[in-house]
Amino acid sequence: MTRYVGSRLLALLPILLGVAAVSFSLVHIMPGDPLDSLMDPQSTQAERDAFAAALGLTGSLPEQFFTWLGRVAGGDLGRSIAFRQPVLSMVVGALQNTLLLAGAAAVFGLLVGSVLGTLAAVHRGRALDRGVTGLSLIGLSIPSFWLGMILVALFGVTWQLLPVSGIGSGSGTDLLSHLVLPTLAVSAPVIGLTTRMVRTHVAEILEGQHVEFLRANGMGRARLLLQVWRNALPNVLTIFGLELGNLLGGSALVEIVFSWPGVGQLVYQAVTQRDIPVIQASLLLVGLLYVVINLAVDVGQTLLDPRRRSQVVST
Amino acid sequence: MSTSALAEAPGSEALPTPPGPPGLVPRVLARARSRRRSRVDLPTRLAFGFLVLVLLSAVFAPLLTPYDPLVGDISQRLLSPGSPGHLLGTDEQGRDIATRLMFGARLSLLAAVLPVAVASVLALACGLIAGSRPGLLGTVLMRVLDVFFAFPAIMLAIGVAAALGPGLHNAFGALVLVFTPPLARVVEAATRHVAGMEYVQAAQLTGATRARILVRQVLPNVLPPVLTYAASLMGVSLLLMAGLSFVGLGVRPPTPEWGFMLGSMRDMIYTSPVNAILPGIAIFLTAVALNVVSDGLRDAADRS
Repeated sequence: MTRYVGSRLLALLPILLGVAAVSFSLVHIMPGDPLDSLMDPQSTQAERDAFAAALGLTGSLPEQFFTWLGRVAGGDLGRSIAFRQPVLSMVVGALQNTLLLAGAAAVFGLLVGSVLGTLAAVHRGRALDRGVTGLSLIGLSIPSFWLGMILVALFGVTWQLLPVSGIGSGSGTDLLSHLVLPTLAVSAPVIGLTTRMVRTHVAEILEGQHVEFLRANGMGRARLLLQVWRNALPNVLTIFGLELGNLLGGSALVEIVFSWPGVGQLVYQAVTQRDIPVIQASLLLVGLLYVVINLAVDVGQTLLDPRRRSQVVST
Repeated sequence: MSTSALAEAPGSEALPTPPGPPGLVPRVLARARSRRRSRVDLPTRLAFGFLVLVLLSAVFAPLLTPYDPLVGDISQRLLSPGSPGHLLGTDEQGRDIATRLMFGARLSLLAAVLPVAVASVLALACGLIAGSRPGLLGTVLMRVLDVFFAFPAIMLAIGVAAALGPGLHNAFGALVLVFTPPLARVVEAATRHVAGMEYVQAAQLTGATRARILVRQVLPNVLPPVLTYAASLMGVSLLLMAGLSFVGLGVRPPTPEWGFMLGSMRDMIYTSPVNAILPGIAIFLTAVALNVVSDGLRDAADRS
């Protein structure tokens, strides 16, 4: 097992290097001389040289990459052009808020989606199944930022029930009340996808011979479902991980609608100000986190599923 | 934003067995196609009809409306839907919303189709090469594409589009970059699967060149699963493009585009919520229709 995790970690290295390379190249796919778009046009040559050196834009491209990589490894992700402060602390702070929102939406979406998906699988082919399938299609097709706008209009403007902007004091019930609407908006596609996948998996398990056997032995419906659910758990965990990873980006647009101080909102501000270091660092850190979450999911699934575990141990 | 559909990429295990001997393929496909028509269910046909309507209104927009999509009458701004002469009301600059929705459909429909189409072609090239040459070249190619899996789709799209600068071409380019890797994975898996088939070995024995086998034997059998998956990405593409435009990385004002219309009226949500929400209905219904059609086609293909 340790060897398995170790080999997975090793396999991670080239991907991480790739993530770094993609983030690094953002500055270089900008049209024209990056300095022109990043700097005041009236700046002097000396200022430009100093700025280029600070951004690591001197020397050949591979040279620049490894200088940049070295600095990143040391925790220096550069300074924001608009806010004139280190990018790292800005992005890490925002990332925490995004994780909070993404986590809440993933948990909520997973719960609702699991219930709906199981219902649909048990009543397969009947009206309830068709209704749930239609619902999941709506969840997958609705633009979450639009759903967010509707929630703002209803709960914030018409009924004035819940706060629709920001994060409040950032703790306790105030935070929770600010979290409700963005979570609903972000979780729509999660509900859609989870419902679909749980329906497929549970329906598959329900057709298995062991379920047939348990049923023939007279096991009650509730206990049977519990058993089915235990079989479905590794897959459900995978869905959860995938969703959590996707929501790191998927919540971006909803964050903008609700002024939620997460990475999406930060990148949005950075985009309007062409603050490339912030975008670069956000992409890098989100990419790192995404890769780590995916690895954790893979390892977790292997641990949970006895069939895969024995494969790993025997090799 | 349902970028998560990207995670739904069919693996090799989900691939249907390619139809029989290659010489028969065109005939078999033609027959399957004629039979398939009757297998498409009612919701799929309704959704398809809706998409055709949207397309027609996009093409004939100038004939269908007396208003200019770009210039409005400031004195007529934010009229509520149902106002005389403005069925869906007007926007923050006094432009007719129905008119802008019709003109906006041009870019939004294009955004659903074009990035996926371009990405499919690129993915076919990468995937066919990687799948048929499992050596160094194939491995390197796929590992490079793997890197782009390490980002949530919308983040990658926003980052790339932001670096390239706002504009339609750059947004399209960013979406192509997002869609190519998952499509290439499907192509590669399908190619590996097909390359092991007996009819490919038979073709090899007749002395056919590698290129000829790829084009005549492998490609026709790789296409069905790839097209099915590509079809399912069109709804995602529409939503991603709307998202990019929403944050100002897509079209430039005053060009009408659904996501951009939503974005520019975002602050009107407090004063004229119905007007502000209207463009989203167009995005939502079109995305539903695209997803219903792609699901229906997949089911029909599974049945035949």
